[in-house]
Amino acid sequence: MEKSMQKNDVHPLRSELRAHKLSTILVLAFIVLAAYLNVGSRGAIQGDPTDTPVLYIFAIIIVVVSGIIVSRQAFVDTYDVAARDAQHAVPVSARTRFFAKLWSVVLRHIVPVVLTNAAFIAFCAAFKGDTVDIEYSCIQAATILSFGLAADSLTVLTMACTGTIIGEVIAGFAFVFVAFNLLADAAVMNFVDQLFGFDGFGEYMISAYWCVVTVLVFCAAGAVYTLRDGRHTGKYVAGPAAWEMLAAGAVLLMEMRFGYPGRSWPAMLILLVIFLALHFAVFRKNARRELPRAIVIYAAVTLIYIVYVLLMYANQRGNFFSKDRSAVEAGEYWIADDEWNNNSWRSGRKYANEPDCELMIGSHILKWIDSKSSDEYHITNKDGSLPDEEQYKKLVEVLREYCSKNEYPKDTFWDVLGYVFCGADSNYEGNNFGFQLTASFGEGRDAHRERCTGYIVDEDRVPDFLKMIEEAGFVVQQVTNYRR
Amino acid sequence: MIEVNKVSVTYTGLRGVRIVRNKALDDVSFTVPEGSVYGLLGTNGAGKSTLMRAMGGIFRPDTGSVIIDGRDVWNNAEVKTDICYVGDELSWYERFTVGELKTYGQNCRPSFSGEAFDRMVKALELPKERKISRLSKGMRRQVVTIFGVACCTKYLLLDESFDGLDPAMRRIIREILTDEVCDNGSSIVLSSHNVTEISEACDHILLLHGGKIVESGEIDDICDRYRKIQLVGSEGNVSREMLEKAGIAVLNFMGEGCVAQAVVRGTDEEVRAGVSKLHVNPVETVPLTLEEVFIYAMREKGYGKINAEK
Repeated sequence: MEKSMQKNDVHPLRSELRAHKLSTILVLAFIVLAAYLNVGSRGAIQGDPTDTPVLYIFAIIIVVVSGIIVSRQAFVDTYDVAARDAQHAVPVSARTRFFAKLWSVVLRHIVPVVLTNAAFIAFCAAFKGDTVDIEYSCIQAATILSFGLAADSLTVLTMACTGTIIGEVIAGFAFVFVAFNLLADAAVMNFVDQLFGFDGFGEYMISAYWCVVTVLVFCAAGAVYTLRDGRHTGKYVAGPAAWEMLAAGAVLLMEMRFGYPGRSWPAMLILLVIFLALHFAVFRKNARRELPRAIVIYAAVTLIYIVYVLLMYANQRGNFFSKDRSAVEAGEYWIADDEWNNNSWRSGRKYANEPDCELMIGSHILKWIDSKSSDEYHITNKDGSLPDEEQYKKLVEVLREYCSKNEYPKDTFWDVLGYVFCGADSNYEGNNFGFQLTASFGEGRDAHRERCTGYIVDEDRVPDFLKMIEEAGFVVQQVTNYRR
Repeated sequence: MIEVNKVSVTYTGLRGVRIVRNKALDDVSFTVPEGSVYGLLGTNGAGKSTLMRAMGGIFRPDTGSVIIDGRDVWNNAEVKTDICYVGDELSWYERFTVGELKTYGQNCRPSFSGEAFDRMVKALELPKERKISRLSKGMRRQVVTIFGVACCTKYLLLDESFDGLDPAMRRIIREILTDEVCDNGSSIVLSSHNVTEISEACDHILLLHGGKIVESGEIDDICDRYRKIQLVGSEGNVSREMLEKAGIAVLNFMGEGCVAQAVVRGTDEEVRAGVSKLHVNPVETVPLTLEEVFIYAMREKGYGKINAEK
């Protein structure tokens, strides 16, 4: 009797649990799939690769959030004492345990995401014809997967470092930071383009970049995790060292965020004062004894920042310079991409800061807008026809050649540092800044985008610029009363 | 043999933005002989669990080392196959049913004996299909303890394993430990703040307070190091100062006039030799029980003095 009662008590509970797990997986898969299908229906199927449906973003959010949850559960020993006691007593090395947990994350998160990605692509393949762009679907799927991987790796790293709920906060912060300050930084992509001689990785670059970030972050997480001691469960990995790591990381992020050319010195000075104030608050009696180490840490972090700046400079066409507000404000012309629908201005503003004038290239129309008079100029062929793809490429080459002749006049390492720390106005007369050209050609499955980056010139050089365009076989025609 | 060599462990944490450090173990050294049942006794917060975790390879000592059969236990998977640590926190096991715990043991412990586990489950009449979270506290403790026993390791570390068990069940668990572990030549290290349990189950003990060793060794030897003596003064009153002047460490003294009773540190011979210098006659010297040793030794360290010598 008792046994039968126990069975009745237990079996429904277990089946309930199984059903709960199953339903969670199904709901997750359904939501992601639905989001993908939405992408397909609005983007890939309609052949409108610039359209970014809300549900596509939602799919990314789902994948990222589920990644954070799964990774946190897998590394439960970093914050749960009972789990730590049980898991760390098992006869395996810390490294083996780390890889076992990583494998658990792969099985519970990455594999489902890959499967839903595959389902999405299969869905698109089933409709392959004039209306579906398989390549674009793959780009979307790869992007979502790479976001999931990045979420996993950052969560694992922060759990290994902090073992506290604040780890989640840091994970979110790091994720947002990386997404907006590095991933979205076209400079990185263009730098790699130029470094390896590629003419643009296209949309796959985002995924490739994320994957590199993921691998590096997983390596760092593994290194920290294997150093972890059971004592650190629910705590920062190594007390003062963890504090210094966090403080140094925060300084680096702040320097990258606020230390743009011309503003580096003030930003670095303020950060140094804050860093030292926190150092004295944390170390109290030992603060003076630990001061040299703090100074060394700050110097090392600043060195990393300088290297970052130089890397950005190395990519002379990157948007590092587009962030140079003083240059942008002083500039007269700006080239941005035009979109293929009514979102042109929103899209354009992603790449620059408050342009006064804009030169835009659309799917078949190159437009140049003078914001002061609200006039609009189209760049067409001399016979008035719209540039085709070949002609567009020719124009891009001309622009690049022109830009390379008018690069920023910095010759030495010290010139660059002077520019970075003292601003554009101290030793440079004139203005130039980054721009980006994007055009799409074809329709449906043949639709694809072209993109280039370069510089536009000072106001007094504009006539030369227009002349150059005309010499390349194009005509700039004015279209008045453009509505902004 | 487990050799604990000058082990110190400090907890570091942040309180607000301030770093706080708490030394849980301070230069602890002792040896657990093979085939022994070693008890870790101590006050609350003495560092018993920390020491157990350091011995189980879960904590890395700041200084010193834990050597098991000649090899350092920290991050050493090979050594850990010879040790099974069962902590005092059971919540992680609650996700399993009793049957699933057996599967878990078979998967993660090379020496796990499913047959022994089943035998003990049957002996304790534990419900195999029920989730551990749905068992009573005592039953949970039983399940996890027999899980540790079924791991069949050379060294079994049980942290507060009798906590929550009724007296009858404690006796059964002790019998299980004797039959399944000790009879196989394995060693057990038990930690508890319950002196009776330790004195009944163990042949060696380590007495900890404030992260430092107060006493260690065989129980009989330790008890023999403390004596309770009754004294009668042959030429007047007997006082505590008299005994201390004679070089006797007095832990407790109660007396009035020429009759007194004292608890002192020292063997029978040492105490009698000290007393012989005085004009007093020791009527009787008896060793303390382990519980009395615990109380007086801790009181000497300043623990539990509120109720002392009123």
